[in-house]
Amino acid sequence: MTVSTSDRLIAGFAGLAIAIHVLEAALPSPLPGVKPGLANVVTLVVLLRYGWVAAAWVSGLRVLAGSLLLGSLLSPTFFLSACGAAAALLALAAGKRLPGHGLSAIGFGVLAALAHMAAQIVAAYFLFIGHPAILNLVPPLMTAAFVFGLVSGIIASTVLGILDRQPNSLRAGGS
Amino acid sequence: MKAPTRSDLAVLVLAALLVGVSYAVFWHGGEAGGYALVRSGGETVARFALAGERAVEVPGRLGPSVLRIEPGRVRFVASPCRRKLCVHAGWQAAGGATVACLPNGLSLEIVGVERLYDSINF
Repeated sequence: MTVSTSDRLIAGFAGLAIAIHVLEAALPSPLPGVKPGLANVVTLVVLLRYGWVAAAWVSGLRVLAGSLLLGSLLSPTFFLSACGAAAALLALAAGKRLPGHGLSAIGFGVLAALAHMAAQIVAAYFLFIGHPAILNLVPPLMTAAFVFGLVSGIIASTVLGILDRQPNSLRAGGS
Repeated sequence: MKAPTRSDLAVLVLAALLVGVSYAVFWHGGEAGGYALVRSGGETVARFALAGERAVEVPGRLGPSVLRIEPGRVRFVASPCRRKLCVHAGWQAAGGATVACLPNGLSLEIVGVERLYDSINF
């Protein structure tokens, strides 16, 4: 089995995303489910530089390895995280197909964050807490997702700008 | 940072609209968002949001009972039972308030509003 350049890239970015994911888990949260989601900055950067498949790998590895490190593998948190990540990736794939000039990191960030949050709420409702009171959480959670998605997008856009100025930065073929 | 594209702006506007709509859909009427649960034979058979004005029919053992719903309150208005105790119980608005119609096998409870008491014994 040989290790290709893109394997190394994916592993490196996944490692970065996992580190952010674990560090973020240590932050206190004002409301269950509200989390900056800065690990998604890495997903966004990978998406725009190396394409959707690489981004899906990085995101999937982050959810899996992140939950191993936090001890939440196969727990409700893990399933919510996995549902959110899967929905975010689908939203990113849909965003890639939008007509026109295409989205930048900011549009992708907001799309992914909203899809992530919506999928988590739906999963929480149908899998764990089938109580209608959970629907009252939808507006504040979606607002938080919008704001954090915007912030992640702006950070990713800045990072992409810096990376693009590096003369010999690696770029995988296609997008 | 690169300037956002026109599609970005479109996504942002749509997303903000979606978030705004979620407030309208899920937070209508603020605290008056209680529900009336109707039980028959121990099973919850219906659930009505205490919003808007309408009358609903619920099937019971003897026949349909009619409930009148108004924002934040609910009552029985017609029942096929003999003594109409459920109808005479009148409007109910407090969280945890319960009206039972034993002949018709129905009970009505208000949930989702702050309860004034934990339980009542007679």
